[in-house]
Amino acid sequence: MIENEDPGTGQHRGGEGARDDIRELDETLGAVRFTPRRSLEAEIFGRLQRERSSTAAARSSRIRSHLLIAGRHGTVLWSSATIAAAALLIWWAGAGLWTGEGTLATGIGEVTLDHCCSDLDGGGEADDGVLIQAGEDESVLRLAIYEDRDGSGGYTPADIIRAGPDSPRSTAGPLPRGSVTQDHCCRDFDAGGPADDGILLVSVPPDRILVAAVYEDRDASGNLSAADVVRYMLP
Amino acid sequence: MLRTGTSTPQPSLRRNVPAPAETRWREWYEAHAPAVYGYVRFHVASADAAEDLTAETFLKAFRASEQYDPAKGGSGAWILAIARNTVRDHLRRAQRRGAPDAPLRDLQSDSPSPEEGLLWREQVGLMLEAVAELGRRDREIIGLRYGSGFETSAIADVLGLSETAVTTRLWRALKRLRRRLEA
Repeated sequence: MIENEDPGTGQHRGGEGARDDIRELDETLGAVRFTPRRSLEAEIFGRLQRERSSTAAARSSRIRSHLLIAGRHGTVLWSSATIAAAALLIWWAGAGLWTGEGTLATGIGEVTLDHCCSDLDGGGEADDGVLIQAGEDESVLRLAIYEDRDGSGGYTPADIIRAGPDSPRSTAGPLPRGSVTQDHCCRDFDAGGPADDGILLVSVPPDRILVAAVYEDRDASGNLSAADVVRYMLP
Repeated sequence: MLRTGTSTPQPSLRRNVPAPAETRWREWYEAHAPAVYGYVRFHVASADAAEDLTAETFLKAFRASEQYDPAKGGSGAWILAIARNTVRDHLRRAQRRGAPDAPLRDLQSDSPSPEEGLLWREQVGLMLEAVAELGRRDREIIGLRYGSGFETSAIADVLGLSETAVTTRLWRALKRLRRRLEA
């Protein structure tokens, strides 16, 4: 590389200051390093395995409901929720169970997704993650919101589950004072491929999560609307 | 003088010998994921989007792996070509949805203090915003050089250019980037 000449024209590139600026920029850019989340490789191969495996496990039925939020009163309404009896998931020998203590199992055709870290509980710190167990056909089987206590950037047993399958059920009614609603869209939350899923959260800062719903952004509006489909909801 | 080497290991662009499918895929991922992720990251605003696009790239590569012909070039160049197309499609879609905004949670930092780490993040954030305003060819070569960490010869292989053309293009891209940053 000729330092003082434009390699295309052979002419001087300009003054010493210009060359120094480009050199400095080259060095600065050369120091930039990005690293993806640690669970990415496992997620990719989990999705691949799911695509390639035959369906042997029974699927849980989808829980399908429409979530409407009346903005003025902040009341959460549950409309036309049809809760079908969930089919039992059959786990292959050697797979553990979702223990809530950090062990995530995957049956055949399932993928575990771990997206960290954002401020999901309204506490002001980007230290929360979403743990999703996705089944076939873009179904969401389990969902948990956790606080990344150990700062590892992913779920570990040292972290705290803020909302999960064992969260107490709440009844419809007015939201507590100070509750915060957030809508994070759009990513691939169901391991279906396209980044067309969102997660709607209602929380009471700093760390209490009341409602979490994963939805598919069918109308590509970038947020939850009546045209979208809720894939899973906590509680 | 523009750096023509890098201290990080070069991603392999060597021609691969056929191997059992999944073993080969894992080897591809281990060898090329840093380069793919780095390239993608220079094109999108958030780590979230970069991770999704990286996943999409490798899944496409694995599904189409039987179409890969080692006689036509290294696996790294082939997978980078898939990454480039995936990024291009995403940027078209992103114009409709709006690109997400997120902190640089995936940026590695060797800064000795939190304050310097914050300054470094701000500096990189400004550079990425300026890169986003460049033309596609400039973004592409900057992504390959600094995101993927490729030397001139590897970039020439991916883009199908001479090494001289790569050097020229890179120099001019950096000049335009410098102007954006000073504006």
